[in-house]
Amino acid sequence: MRRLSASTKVAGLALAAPALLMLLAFYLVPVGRVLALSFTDPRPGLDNYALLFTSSAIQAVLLATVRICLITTAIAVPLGYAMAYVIVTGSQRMRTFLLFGVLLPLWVSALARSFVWVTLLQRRGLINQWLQGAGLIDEPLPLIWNQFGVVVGMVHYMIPYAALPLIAVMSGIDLKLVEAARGMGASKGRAFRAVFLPLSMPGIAASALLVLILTFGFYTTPAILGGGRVMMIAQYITTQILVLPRWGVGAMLAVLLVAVTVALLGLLARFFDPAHMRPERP
Amino acid sequence: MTDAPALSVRGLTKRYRAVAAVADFNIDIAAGEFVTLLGPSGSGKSTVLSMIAGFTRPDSGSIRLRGTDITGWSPERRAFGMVYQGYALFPHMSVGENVAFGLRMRGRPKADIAARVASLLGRVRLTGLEDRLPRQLSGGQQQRVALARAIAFEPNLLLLDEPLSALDRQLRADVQRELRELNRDLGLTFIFVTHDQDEALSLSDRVAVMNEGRLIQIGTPDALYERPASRFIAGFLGQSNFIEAMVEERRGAEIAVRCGPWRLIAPATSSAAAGSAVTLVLRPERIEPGRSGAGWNSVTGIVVARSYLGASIGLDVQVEGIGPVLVTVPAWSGGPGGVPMPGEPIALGWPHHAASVLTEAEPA
Repeated sequence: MRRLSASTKVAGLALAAPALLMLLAFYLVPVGRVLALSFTDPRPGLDNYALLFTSSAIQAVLLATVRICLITTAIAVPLGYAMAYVIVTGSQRMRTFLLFGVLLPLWVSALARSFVWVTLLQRRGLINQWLQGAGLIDEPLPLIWNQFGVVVGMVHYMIPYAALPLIAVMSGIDLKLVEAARGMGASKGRAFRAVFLPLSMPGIAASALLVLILTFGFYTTPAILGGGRVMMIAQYITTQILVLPRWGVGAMLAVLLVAVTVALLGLLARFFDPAHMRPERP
Repeated sequence: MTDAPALSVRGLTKRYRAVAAVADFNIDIAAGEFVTLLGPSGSGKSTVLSMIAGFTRPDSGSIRLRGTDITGWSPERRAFGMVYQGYALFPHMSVGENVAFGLRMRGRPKADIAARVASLLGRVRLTGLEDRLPRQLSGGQQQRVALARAIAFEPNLLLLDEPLSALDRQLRADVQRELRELNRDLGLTFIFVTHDQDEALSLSDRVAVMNEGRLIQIGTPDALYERPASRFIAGFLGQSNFIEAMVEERRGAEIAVRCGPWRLIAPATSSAAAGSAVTLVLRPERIEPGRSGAGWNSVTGIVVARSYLGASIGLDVQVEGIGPVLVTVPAWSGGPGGVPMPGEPIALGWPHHAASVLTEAEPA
């Protein structure tokens, strides 16, 4: 690559300056303020952080958050994997059609999608009506305002995010390798397990991390489908700051959220490093 | 010798939408034979190989292995050894695991597999490298791993899909020799796909030339080179001069043809009657500058260009009534003044039987 001359560098910096200044003023400064608040409000010290070990309410929220995130990831990643597999191995037309199908939901707001699930899952929603109409159940099933409803909504929201990194990694796998395995006597299933699955592992890791990161800070879907009975960390922070208001506790949890996200992002970056991700091709 | 051929292919056809990738392909391959499918890209040779391996389902036709119809068999049931262009080594497995794969799939005992892998790696001169990953090997070494892997489970047939195209010239020659040795030592039947005519001629017992999904001609390398059945073969295998001429008379085993101011003698073919148009196919290396006399055709022309090719010198000669004629002469005879320079006149001669004759009714 050509080395940039000093004057080009200055010019480049000047061009980037407005964006950089905006980032500094409206992003880094507030984040710094939140970090500061977590150590100063209401009194200077580590009191807010001590709550992590003493407050059973906060511990319950964290536990629920982690549990829901893990369940969502455990369901969304296999579903995304199946989708990505069909997209990568299917015909060109199938590929275009399904890829569009994966991307389309990304343009629909989480709010709209959550309310759609409400109409489907509520006591007198479509699903319960059908099941009762078919005589399969007497009483409506509790499909919403609980962890089940939250997980359904979150899995649905996360499938495209789970599928995209998998599609990226799987596209780099030479399908001739699977063919070669079959030519040597491996059945379809064995060829998949022995060759395709191990080579797609970086995609699985990246997909799982991405879904974990996104679900960890999820607000809208659990707020609507949980009906106030399932409390995740983002919603709890909102309550602390807007309702109570206990700025210090909210800020402390926000810092925790950011720290966990950054740590997971660091791991994710490892898996998206081209050197880790690409299977070797001669 | 067995009664049924090792592999017998009848009427194999594959269409993609309206386009026939392969049309009515027939071949019989004897056990231990080294057969090459040769053709330009898009000629259908890889599709034929893929159908033989079982990865592509033919629209019609049959494939028989020693008399057994295997057309409907899955690739894993056929289990032919296969070497791919780019090798398709498993990047996440070591060299040893790659070679052991086919044996493992067959459930061979661990100790047997270890012994077999060690002996195979010895055979391809890779002993001591079994724990390396494929990407830690050179191209030539990867090639040899791919070979060892393909023959590890003693397949009925070894299919090779342009396996040498990624190697440089020197390595290519080495691997070609190794392939011949493997073919001879193991008595294994080879089906080799390539677009490289030199490779096809030097390696094969028989070459099947394909174009546009069809088998154009099959025969031993020298039969194809000496007696091309069509203009396509003559142009595709080596270089050829095509001389358009009119038959003047037929005299026993020879015909006399007229081409501009020249009367030339060529071997007769059954369909070359007096008055019909024919094409003489003449290899550049069969023409000798300055030769004439009994049994020789001779013409004169002007040298247009010359190119030094190392072992030989190529001359472009413009001959009145014929057009440009390519001549190659051994370079060592071309000392100072030996080979004419551009602009100089030159006399060209070739034996009556050096040319082969194509009649215009030829296919393709």
